[in-house]
Amino acid sequence: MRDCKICGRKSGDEELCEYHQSALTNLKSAYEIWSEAEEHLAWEEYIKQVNELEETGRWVKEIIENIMSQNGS
Amino acid sequence: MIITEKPTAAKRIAAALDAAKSPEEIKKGKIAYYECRRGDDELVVVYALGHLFELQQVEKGWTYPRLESKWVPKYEVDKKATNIKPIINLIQKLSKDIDEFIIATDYDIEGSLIGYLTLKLACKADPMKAHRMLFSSLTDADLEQAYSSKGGLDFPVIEAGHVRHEVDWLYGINMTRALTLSIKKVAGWFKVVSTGRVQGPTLSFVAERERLINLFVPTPFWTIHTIGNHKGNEMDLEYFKKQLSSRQDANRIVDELIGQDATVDSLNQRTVTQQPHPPFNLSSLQAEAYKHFGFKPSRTLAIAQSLYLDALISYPRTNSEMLPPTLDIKGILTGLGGMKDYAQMAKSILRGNLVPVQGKKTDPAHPSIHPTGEKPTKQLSPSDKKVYDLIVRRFLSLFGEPMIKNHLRADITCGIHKLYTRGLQIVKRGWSEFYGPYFKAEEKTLPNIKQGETIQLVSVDFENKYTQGPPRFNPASLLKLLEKENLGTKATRSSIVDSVKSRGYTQGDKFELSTLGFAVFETLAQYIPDILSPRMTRQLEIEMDNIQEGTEKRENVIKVAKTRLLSYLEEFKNKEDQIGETLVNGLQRYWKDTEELGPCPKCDDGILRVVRSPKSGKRFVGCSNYKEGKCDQTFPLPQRGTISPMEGMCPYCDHRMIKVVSGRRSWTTCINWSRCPGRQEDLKALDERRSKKKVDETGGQES
Repeated sequence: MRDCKICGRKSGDEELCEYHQSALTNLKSAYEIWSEAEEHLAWEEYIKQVNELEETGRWVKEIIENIMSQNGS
Repeated sequence: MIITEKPTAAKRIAAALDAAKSPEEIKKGKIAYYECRRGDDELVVVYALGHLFELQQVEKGWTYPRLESKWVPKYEVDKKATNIKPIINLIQKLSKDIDEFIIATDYDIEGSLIGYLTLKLACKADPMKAHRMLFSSLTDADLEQAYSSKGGLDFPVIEAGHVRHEVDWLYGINMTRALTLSIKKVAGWFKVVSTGRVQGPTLSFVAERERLINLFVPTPFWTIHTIGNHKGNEMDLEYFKKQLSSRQDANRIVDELIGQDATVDSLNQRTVTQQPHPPFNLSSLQAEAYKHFGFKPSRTLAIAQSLYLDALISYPRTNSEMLPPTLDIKGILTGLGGMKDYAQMAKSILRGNLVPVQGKKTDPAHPSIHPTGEKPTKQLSPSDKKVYDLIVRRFLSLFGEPMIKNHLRADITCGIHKLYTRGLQIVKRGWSEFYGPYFKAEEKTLPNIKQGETIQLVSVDFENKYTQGPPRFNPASLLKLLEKENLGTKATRSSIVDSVKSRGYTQGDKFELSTLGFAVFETLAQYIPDILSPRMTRQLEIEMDNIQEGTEKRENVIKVAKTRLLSYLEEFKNKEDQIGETLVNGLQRYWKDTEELGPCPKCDDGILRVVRSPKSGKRFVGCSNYKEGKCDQTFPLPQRGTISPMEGMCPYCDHRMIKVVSGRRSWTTCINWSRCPGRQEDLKALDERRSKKKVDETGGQES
């Protein structure tokens, strides 16, 4: 049994708990909409913009911060 | 003996039924009863204080399962209910010389049960021989009519009340104990964590909404803003597509429109007739009072109840949106005509046809909420006045003529692009004149343009926006959802909405789920999902309705509820350790989120926490090293409102920032606010405001 690397909740065999896993899935699927909306939008720039928006959900922001910290940005 | 529900009701009922309209008030210490005479009848009017009796477990021990209960005087269950004992004693004593008992409590499930229990347990009387007065307002006319047409007790309603109390008691105490004891077992702490039959599903609605908010990813869209010029007059034009999904499209459209000439294609007018809103039932009154005054539903109910006890409005706990044909509308309007604020409106209505608009919802016991036409005998408080005015104006508006509005629209083309502008003209205000401040529609005139004319597009630009996540609940929208899902009753819903907040499961005016709320939800969802499901509790509501209608037996419903509960508790017991661990983790996160304010600036190794003084009960910030005598750092805190720590530090003094939410107001400050150099101006202004208020209140006598 593993703990979610973001919040420490039990996450079964996965790296992320169900909430942060869903947040990551949503973040990835919204990238498609953003890519069509904004030409040549790189993933890094996309998550930076999403993270700055007030409307972005808490778990999504936590996932973004985790990705950014891994990338060293 | 006439048994009423509250002291105010007793006084009013005694005055209404006494032939001379002046009953004798007999005082016995802090309580009283009334004696009056009506024809040959000598009447003794006594009062309860809501429920005088409560359910208590039969077996001993703060544990679970506990399935058997009995009715006992309330002061045996609630040690604070010391005022109940003399009332029960007085009723018992007076009952000895009574030959007929009449229940005159509120005409609803709770009222019927209060009357029945008082009769059976305090008066020791035979309910089969007792009578029941049924009324929807406390006016003399309604009460006299209710007295002369009194019938037998409404036993199916009493049975339904019994079941509601028993089932809520069973689920409330057993589930709450199960949760609380699981924490005690794992961590040794005694922290009461509650849930209940309706509270569980309510928490799950809030948690599900919070999940959607937490998972929300906004996506961009663009809107086009155009200003047209027609013969020197500028006008705002809207692009036919409200949202564009790409920046490229938005850029292209701006380029294609800017500086171009557009042509007025067509002018359309649509006349709409709007009928008045239906009469108020409790939930629509609560929604409207929240919308206009920001009153939470429980506050509106309390105000409406007090207006009812003053005989100013009809009984507020009603589902009905209808006024019965027997209602003396002319009498009510004449009464309102005697009040300065409503005189003109009432007189103008009285000259017309007195047929009100009706809604669809019905209630077997009471009509929709309406004023009685009685003049207030005392000055109403500002809040009472607001709700009373809303009720009166809604009632008056029911007799108004339909409102007639013209929706105007001009369609404009520019090459392949379509634009439009809209206007709204109110031709006839109709009923909205009576509803006054509670109806708002902004009129907008359409520019003076004709078909075929040219409009020059002088300014075209776009705005980049983002989609919004689902909104959080507010007290009114959560109450509406409970009503839609048929959870709870019109009388209990507002207190259920309040309880989710008062238990610490949500924070702020909007129902933002707290970490504690999330922990309880997560635990129940993982281990006993049924307790969160509206399905189970909705089924029970249906069964209770069936008891009230006489098609189901109380014993059967209780038996099924107990069997179901036992299976949940068994499951709970088997997983008690896991459940306790999940809750303890959640509680630790909750305390960290709500009480910890980071490292102590004085001693460095202590943690600042929100604590309460055991002596004064006041809260302040203290260091965790205080108990060991190592650090005495403290900061004062505002005493009102909810405080939540924020991430950032104060730009002026580098102390932790906090958010304070009090009622609908919220502000941010730092924990060092009383000494922070950046906040002295604000403090000075606050002191001045307070002094001014004090002078205003004392009429300047102190200065």
